[in-house]
Amino acid sequence: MLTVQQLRKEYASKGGVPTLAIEEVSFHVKEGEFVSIVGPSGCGKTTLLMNLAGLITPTSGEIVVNDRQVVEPPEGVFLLFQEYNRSLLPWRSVLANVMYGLELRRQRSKARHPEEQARRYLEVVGLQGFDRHYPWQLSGGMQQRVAIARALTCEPEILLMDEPFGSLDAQTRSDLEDVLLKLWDEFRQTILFVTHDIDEAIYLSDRVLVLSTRPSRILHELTIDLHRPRSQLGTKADRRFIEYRAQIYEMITTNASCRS
Amino acid sequence: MVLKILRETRLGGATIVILLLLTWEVFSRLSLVDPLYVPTVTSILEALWSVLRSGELPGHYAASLVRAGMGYGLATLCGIVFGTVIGYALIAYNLTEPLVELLRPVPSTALIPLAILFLGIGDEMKVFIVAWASFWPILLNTIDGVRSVDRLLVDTALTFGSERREIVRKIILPAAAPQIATGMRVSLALALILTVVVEMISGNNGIGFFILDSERAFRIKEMFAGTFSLAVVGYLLNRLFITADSYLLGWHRGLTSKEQR
Repeated sequence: MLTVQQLRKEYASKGGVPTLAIEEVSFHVKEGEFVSIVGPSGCGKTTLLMNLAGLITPTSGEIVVNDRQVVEPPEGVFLLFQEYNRSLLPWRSVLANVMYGLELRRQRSKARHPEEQARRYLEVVGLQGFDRHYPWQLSGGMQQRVAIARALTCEPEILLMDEPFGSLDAQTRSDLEDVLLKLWDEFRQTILFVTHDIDEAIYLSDRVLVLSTRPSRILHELTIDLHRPRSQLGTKADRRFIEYRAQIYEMITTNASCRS
Repeated sequence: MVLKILRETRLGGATIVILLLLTWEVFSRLSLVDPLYVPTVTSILEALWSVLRSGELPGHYAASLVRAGMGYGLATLCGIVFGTVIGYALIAYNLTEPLVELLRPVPSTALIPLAILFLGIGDEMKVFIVAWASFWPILLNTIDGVRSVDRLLVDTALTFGSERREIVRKIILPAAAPQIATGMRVSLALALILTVVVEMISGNNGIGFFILDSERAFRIKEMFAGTFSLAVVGYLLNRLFITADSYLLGWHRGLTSKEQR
């Protein structure tokens, strides 16, 4: 489904010496799998996702989606940005925002009745009745729901999520985590979820990749063996959950102290 | 109570206008100023009414508004098209920036002799001058608006598989629209000014011609009537623009007023 092979990314900088953002990252995500990438702030997670979404080109290495190498934004792959408030179109109502993707040539064929489809996904994320509002009239959590509905409307095969709940309050955040799990359970997209929150990564995923500090490498890969459906209280109280958390936490802190 | 009215309404401002007109009326009536050169406001309004009813003034306005409209329309079209290209493509920006910076500060009136030389003294010259003057604010605001579109919006569009044309039409232009509108509003006033100026230079119709011709024929009341009417027309055009703006770009006001809170 999604394969990353020896990906390396350098940025040109002023002094002529390139900055190394990603040293070498390889991994594979199976169809329908929920994988999280967790790592300290500034470890190149966003750079990695931008590469996968085809928005920037890697210095070397290969990204393959559905047997095709990524050179431009690939079809069926959608990136949800961390700054949801900036990624929604402020001149469009909520409904019109959700319909945006379906108006484009690439996705036009995906819906015979774009408006109905958009309304359906607004309902799926729990925003029925807000279709005529503008994004800036909504709270942060609701804006992120709009962004999720907009991506879902185009029926993505792969969802890339860049700390999507990073700037929300704790309550909204766990609500949205559960909304996401419910959606995933229903539609089974492949999801690659980037976060710096260890608990969130474990709670959501089938597998967690632990990323090092800049320049990024994968420190470890952890299969999360917790039964589904998960629940905020039950799952997080599970003994194995606590073990996973300790394991990842230790890896990240050891790595950080080595580097500094 | 009075303070509340002054703070919350524009009644005070309207009162000042009326007081000024009243003073004018009194000065003229008492011959404190020469009524021959400064007729009473009431007689000016009377003259205005009669040139309106006779169809003289409406005829001149029709000619003026066609010129202003053509010039302004041309400027808007060219300003938005060129501005978008220059703002969007870095190469176009680098290629044109020095030229734009050289041409922009030249007062449009300084080009009238040149325009007469090449285009004659007819409507071509007049429309050209109006268009030239109105072009620059629209161009510069469009360039600036397009350049400052949030990169994240474009990235979002790209991940949705937008093609270049779709990005320009569905992302860049709407996002830059508030600033384009700002340029268009500045240009609207310029279009009116330049229309009057070029009509005073040549031709035999238009509101600019009417005002100058009335002065030459010593129809002082009519001259004032023409000027008064321009104040009203300018005001109405601006109101019309603001209404259209808040209807079309209401989202922007809502967004910015929320940010300020």
